[in-house]
Amino acid sequence: MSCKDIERLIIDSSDKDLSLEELDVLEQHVAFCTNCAHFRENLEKIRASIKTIPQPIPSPDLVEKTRATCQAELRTPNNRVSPYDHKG
Amino acid sequence: MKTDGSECDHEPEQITDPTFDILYQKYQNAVFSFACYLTKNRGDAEDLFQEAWLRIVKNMPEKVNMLSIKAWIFTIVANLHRDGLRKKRIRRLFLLKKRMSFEKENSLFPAMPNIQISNSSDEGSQAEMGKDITQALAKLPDRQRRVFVLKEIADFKQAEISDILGIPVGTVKSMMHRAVKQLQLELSKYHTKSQYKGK
Repeated sequence: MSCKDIERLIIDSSDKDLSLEELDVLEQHVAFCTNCAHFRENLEKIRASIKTIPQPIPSPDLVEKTRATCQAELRTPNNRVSPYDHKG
Repeated sequence: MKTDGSECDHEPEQITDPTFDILYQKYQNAVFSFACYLTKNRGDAEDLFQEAWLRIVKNMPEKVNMLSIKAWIFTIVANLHRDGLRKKRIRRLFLLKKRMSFEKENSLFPAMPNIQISNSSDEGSQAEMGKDITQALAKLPDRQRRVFVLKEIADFKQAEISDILGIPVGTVKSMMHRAVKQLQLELSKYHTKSQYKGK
């Protein structure tokens, strides 16, 4: 496997659906390849830092205005067109 | 939710939809945050937020599957944004392209709170890196930023992102890889041993 393949596996590994074989290949490669080891280390740093970013939140005014509009829409009869309706 | 109206006789009874209330309460911040990352502009994010919730309400299934509803909500937001971008691109054919400054783009993110910076130099540099990540994210191409935000901020798996965006998993993986490489390049000053030479 090339370093590019391993980098993709490193990204995939956070989805927790790698096979044991893939995990084995990944760990063996990273143990000997400094570039891929750094790629993994730096991705982990980015992930850790992302958790420190305060996420933008909607203003209370926007939250209330949107809630009121949606509740009004819900009170309108026959407004719901379920995407699952065609399943019967 | 008031049900009997006994506390105030003159107030009209507000019938609220409990399913909507639960979803709105649970996902309003996540939807807004996603809208901000997509649009890079608070005003556009507010418009997208309102439009998205209205569409969610209009299409909300009678029986909500709480396991899959988050992906469904994000699909609506992503589709609305994509459709809006298409319209914008058409307009740009006739108008001068207006370049938005990164300072303005970043203004939609609140300032890094002081409480994040403790005595630990690790936490301080992590917070500083967080600030730079928002700048680096803003520079990513739209499609890459969308995939990266869905994966790393909204916590979706790549297979789910494929469903949300309606693109093959392979394309999601490829865009995610390019986004991570680009971000690592932009943030190379934080790396102990920087050897990224681009793509």
